[in-house]
Amino acid sequence: MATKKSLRILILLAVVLVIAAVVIVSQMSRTKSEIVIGVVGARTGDNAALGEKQANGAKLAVEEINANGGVRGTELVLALEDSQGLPAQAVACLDKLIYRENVLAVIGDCQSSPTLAMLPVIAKAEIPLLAHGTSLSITQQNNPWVFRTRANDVVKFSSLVGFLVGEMNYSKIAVFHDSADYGIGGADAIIGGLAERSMDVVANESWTPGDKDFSSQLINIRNTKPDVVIFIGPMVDMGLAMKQARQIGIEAQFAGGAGIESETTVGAAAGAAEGLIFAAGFISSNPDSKVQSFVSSFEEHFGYKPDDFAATGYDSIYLLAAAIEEAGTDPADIRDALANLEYQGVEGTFDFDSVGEGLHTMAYGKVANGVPTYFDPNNQ
Amino acid sequence: MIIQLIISGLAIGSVYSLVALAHSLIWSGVRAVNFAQGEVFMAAAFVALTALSGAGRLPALPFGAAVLVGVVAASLIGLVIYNVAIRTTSKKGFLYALGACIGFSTLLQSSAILIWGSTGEQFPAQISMVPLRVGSIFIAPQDLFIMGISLTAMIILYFFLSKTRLGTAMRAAAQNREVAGLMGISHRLTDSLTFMVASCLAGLAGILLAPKFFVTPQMGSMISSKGFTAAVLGGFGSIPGAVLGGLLLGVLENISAGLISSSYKDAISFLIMVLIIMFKPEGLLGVKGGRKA
Amino acid sequence: MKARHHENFITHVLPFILIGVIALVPLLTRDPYLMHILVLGGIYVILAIGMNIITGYCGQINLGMAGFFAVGAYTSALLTTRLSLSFWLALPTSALVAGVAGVLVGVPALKVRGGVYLVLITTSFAGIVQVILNQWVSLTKGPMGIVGIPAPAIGNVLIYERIHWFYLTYAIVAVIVFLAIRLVGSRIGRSFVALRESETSAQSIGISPAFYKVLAFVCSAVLAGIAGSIYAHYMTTISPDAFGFNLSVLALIMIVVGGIGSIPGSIVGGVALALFPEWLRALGPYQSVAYAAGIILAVVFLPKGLLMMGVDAVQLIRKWFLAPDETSEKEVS
Repeated sequence: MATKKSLRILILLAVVLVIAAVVIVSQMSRTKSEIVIGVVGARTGDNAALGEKQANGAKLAVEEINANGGVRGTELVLALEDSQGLPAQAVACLDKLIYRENVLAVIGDCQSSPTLAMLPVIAKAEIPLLAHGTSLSITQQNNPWVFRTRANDVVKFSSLVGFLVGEMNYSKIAVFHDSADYGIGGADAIIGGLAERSMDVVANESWTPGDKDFSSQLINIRNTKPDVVIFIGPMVDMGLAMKQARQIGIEAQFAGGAGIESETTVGAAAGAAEGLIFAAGFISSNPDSKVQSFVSSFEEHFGYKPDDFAATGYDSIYLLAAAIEEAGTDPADIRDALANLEYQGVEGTFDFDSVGEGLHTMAYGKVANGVPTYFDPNNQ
Repeated sequence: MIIQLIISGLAIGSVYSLVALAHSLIWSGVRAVNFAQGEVFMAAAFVALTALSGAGRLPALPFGAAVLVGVVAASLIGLVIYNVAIRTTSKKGFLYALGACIGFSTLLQSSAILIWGSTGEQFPAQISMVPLRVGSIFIAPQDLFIMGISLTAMIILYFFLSKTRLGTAMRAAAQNREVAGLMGISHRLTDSLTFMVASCLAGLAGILLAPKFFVTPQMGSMISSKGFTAAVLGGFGSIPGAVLGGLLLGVLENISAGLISSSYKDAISFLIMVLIIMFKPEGLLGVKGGRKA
Repeated sequence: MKARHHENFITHVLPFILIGVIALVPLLTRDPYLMHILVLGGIYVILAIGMNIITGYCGQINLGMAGFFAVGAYTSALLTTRLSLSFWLALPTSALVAGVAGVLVGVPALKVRGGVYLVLITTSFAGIVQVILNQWVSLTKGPMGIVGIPAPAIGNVLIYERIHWFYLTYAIVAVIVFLAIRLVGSRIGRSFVALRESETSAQSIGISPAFYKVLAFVCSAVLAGIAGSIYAHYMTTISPDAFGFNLSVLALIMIVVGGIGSIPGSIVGGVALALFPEWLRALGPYQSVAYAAGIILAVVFLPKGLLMMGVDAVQLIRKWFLAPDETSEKEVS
């Protein structure tokens, strides 16, 4: 009994020592001579894929910038934190970055609700945040420190509607979306876009994020015989939904916003994504030389094609680098520089407006032979 | 319309059945719940996919062999879960086993993210994607394939339990743990075996669904809870109950989503479940007045 | 005699020592990052006490704490943003509404026997709450969540700074700990324990299982509702995805790690589960794996939870350093 107990004590002591060691490590703050940029995103949990792509995009940008001599002669350093996509965790990440790592600016989170939770902390700490969540409300909080580096849902889906109705002459549009932030916001934008043209959706069905079986909703959609079905939701879900739609005999044109052309979605759709039309800031087959060099070095580094999240991580770092290069390392100067910057990134032209929206236009693409293909507007 | 809803409900339901079977087998044999079942499901799919496409110096295996590798991996994970999480906590109560299993589920999921990344991979389809058409009803060959394999697995399980020595030992242990102990059937052995067989079923379900689902580290979390629900619905611990519960849950979900409201589909199925366990707590095929769950 | 004294110390004095120690942290550092973790820890402590009352004391498994937490958070957020009610009114109202939800779960839960069915009923409740929060957009704003939840004020002072939140949270924690100790020491608490040990013998001495089980559900729901209300005002923004199954699981892990059926154990468990993942951040991509491994080890190797482990360790060290004192051995077993 006694030996067992002292063994337990030993284990406990060891655990305490390890924890103490970890605490000491985590207490160490960085020297101020580096330029540290924080990255917040989910790297575990249900949305782990988003954070992984965002971080990889950011890592690639930092590597390229440092290989070219850094910013103002100083190396850029990334500090990555995992928010698990949860608001309280995102705030903890941000705190750690601000008060331990002395970051100059932060990029992230990839999702809207963690980003919204981060905004009050950012306003107080007074450092720039380059946000990737696409919910409209992020830029409506009167927070001068927030800059969005992706097209918001309204821009994305109302331009998609404009393209489908105006350019492609479709009229019976069905929308199939998830019941989370992205899906509901997107569906609202589509319904609003159609209402401007005095039209309405023929079907509006939803699923719970993470669902694997969509047959009942798809049957309802099939019964309305739509010309186009627009899918909005998590990448894997959209792919599965498209596949099952074809399996129960829906022959309509498929369409969606950025993310739907990702390798994940097209892979999950297993052929059903062929011919899909999408609106995105970033299209990996865009012939633009800057995009092509990004795509090839990203694929070389990480073994898969970059998508919207990878591109936004990449552009965010370049935007910050450009602002720091111009304005130095004072956060307020960086913010002003960002606000006045005009920058051509892989997602398109960034020109931040008064609320911090950076991207205002979309490009269109089509999935052909399983790969997203750029729809050249001059060559239709 | 309703026939179409029922048919597609049966397809997903047969997978729920397999996972429910795994839950029921463990409950009837070991009096435990493996709350990491969904992650066993996921791990089997990843291992089979890796075996199928080859990794490093390992050659790519044919589909049948890859399935075998995945199922064996699943049973080994089951063995570890039993010996680390269940056996050590069996005397301390349900809460501890629950806590340890939840730990395992996080461990397996985050390990999968480290090993295979979080972006997910497509499992190559083994069967045609073109739907069969009967009148106005569409049937995906993949669904037929899933239903067929599930049925085969259930039949094999039935013969294993009733015709083999090991199966008889497992059933004996399930029926009366004390007597089985007296007759020289070691709990640890039969319990480990039960966990391995159950994990094989969960793993098989994972591999079967992999081409339909897309393989991601998170693919198991939903299936595990649905399978658990199906098992309770059918009568927890009952083998035919698990099969029925799975099919019923699949159909029920599909009909409520198709005919009532897709946005409240989950709430409706939750509600129906609560009502069933309130008014028929022993489940549809459970024995009334039987062992307390 | 001495053993009894020792037990008395653990249940009545130790909780306040623990809270006191935490409350002294700002003397060392006011680092906002640490303050955030400790505020979350305080919210977790309230949740853990609630979980312990229903599961630890009354023996009813509850994996629906996220549902009660969400009900509290949304009630508070809606009352203050839509009706401009003060936090001080919204907090008790959200406790009340969560308590009503506790009845809604507790009554159906009476119909079933055994952990497995309770797991299903309570998770179903939390699942239904999450669906409603997502779908009833006109009330809850759906998945977009509610932003701009106002900060509470004491007189003219807004509780806005982390350090103020820290003191406010731990003041509420201290009150709740005090009430919880009174509750579990009272006739009600003893009835809970009697029900946990044996329903039949409890019934034979005149304890109504139905009444006390529902009461236990209500108590834990009220505490989860209070925790949710604090969370909403502290974060200033809430959305349904923060109240998923993981939160219910976290509540369970907190009491298993801290100590089942123990108020000081709930304090240790709540704070530990807030600090532990943050310590592991240094491990980068291995954080989550290490976290899971830590949970498994704690559940398997700490049979009585972290708190009793610590108490045992102190006892043992005392035995080593002081003269061999036979009486202290008995208390431990």
